[in-house]
Amino acid sequence: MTHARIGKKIPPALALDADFEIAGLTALYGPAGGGKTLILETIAGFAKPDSGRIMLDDAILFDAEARVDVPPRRRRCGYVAQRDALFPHMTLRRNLLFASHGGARLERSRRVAEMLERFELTPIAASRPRDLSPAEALRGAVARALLAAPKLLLLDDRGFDEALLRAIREAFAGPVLLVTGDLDLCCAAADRLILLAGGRILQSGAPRAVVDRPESVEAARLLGFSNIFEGEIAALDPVRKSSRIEFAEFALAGPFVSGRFRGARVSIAVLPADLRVHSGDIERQPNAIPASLVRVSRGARAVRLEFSGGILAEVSFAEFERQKDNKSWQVEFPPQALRAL
Amino acid sequence: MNWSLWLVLRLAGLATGISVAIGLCLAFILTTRKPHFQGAPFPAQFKALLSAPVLFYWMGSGGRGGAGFWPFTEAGLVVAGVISAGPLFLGAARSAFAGLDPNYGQAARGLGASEWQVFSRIHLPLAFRPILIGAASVFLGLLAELAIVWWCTGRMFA
Repeated sequence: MTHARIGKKIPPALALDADFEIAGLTALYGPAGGGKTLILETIAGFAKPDSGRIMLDDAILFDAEARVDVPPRRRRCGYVAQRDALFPHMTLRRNLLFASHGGARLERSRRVAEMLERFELTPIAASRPRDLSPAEALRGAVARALLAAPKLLLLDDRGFDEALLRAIREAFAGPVLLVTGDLDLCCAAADRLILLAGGRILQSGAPRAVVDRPESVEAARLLGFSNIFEGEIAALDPVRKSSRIEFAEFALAGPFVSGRFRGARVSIAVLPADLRVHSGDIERQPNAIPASLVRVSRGARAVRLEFSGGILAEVSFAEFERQKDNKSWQVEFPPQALRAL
Repeated sequence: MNWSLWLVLRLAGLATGISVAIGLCLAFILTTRKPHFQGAPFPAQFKALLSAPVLFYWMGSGGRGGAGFWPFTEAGLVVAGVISAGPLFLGAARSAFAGLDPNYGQAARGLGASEWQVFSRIHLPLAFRPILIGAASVFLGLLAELAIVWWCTGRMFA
């Protein structure tokens, strides 16, 4: 079992308090400055927590109460840092040989050659780190970390992609803790997702479950639910699995909110891409409210429409072109897109 | 003692070599045991304190009117040179190691390297150039000081 309970205060910016398990590929997702890298550093042994316990395969790496603090060189945690740390005075092959200790020289060379081949680094093995592209340097850093035969792999946010993570998992069967700001990558490659903000774990679980069902307002905001409204449950229908929620200026039909009673306060979150926009001139759509367009911003793949009342909607370029001349607008909230927090 | 350019070069070279060896050992301790030595005074601060007595010894003991409390031998001069130049080199080495990116040391430790391996295979090669410049400065400084002593003892008091 690989488990970490870490408490560390860095006043005034951060008070880290995290308790989590690492199994398979676990992704740590959160905003910058939330303590993600600090967690990796404490597990690797480069930063000392104020309290807590870190266990790797049932071996204690750190225990504040028992005053156990295993030095980094004995922790067997492969750490790929955010900044490139390939030794600049060595070639890529020598960098890998440095990590490959133990065994006969021939055996070490064979392991290095195998790792170079696996990460497609053989043609550039004689290059110095300064001559490598960022992607090659990243693959080199991963190959070097794996050659040290770690029990746990710690990957900081450095532009990992799905293909590289797949190659890592083919080469390494142990647990991997990945820090990333890419939610798509979390869903595509991770077995488990941990949401971290302000040094606190907001939610954890299977990536799809976490992304689809945020449990708190903070988690929802972190996952891109820009539309969060607080209202009151006006009606609950467990047979039809539906509810009616009244907000300050409008009311919506939503999904059944389990564990709450009529009259209870509830926060409803909706993704901007889940909202539908229509012209205000046509017949009022079910679960739609009239709104006036405040701002339009064109993104790389979609157009973001900001309506009065803080409502954000995202539509495709084609859809926007079709509707851009609307004199008035209505925004539809599909009941299945509403998440009760 | 018969002063010659060869003697001055030899004394300066020997004192520099010993200063570099001792300075690197101390720099290794200061680098690896950082928390214990964080408040330690910068070695170069001693240089100003040591220079005057060392020069006094060089000149006083060797000159005609000197106190002569230590026989004026080559070994004595080398020891004096090491006392004078050692702190200067240690300061240069310490600055060179302090200027290195700590990521490299961390990466090496994470890969299972011992403190000695981190120092000898990572820190030392990376800081080689500033250390070489520090050693050259020490050698030239000693050369200049010994040349003064040579001039004073060999000519002025001859």
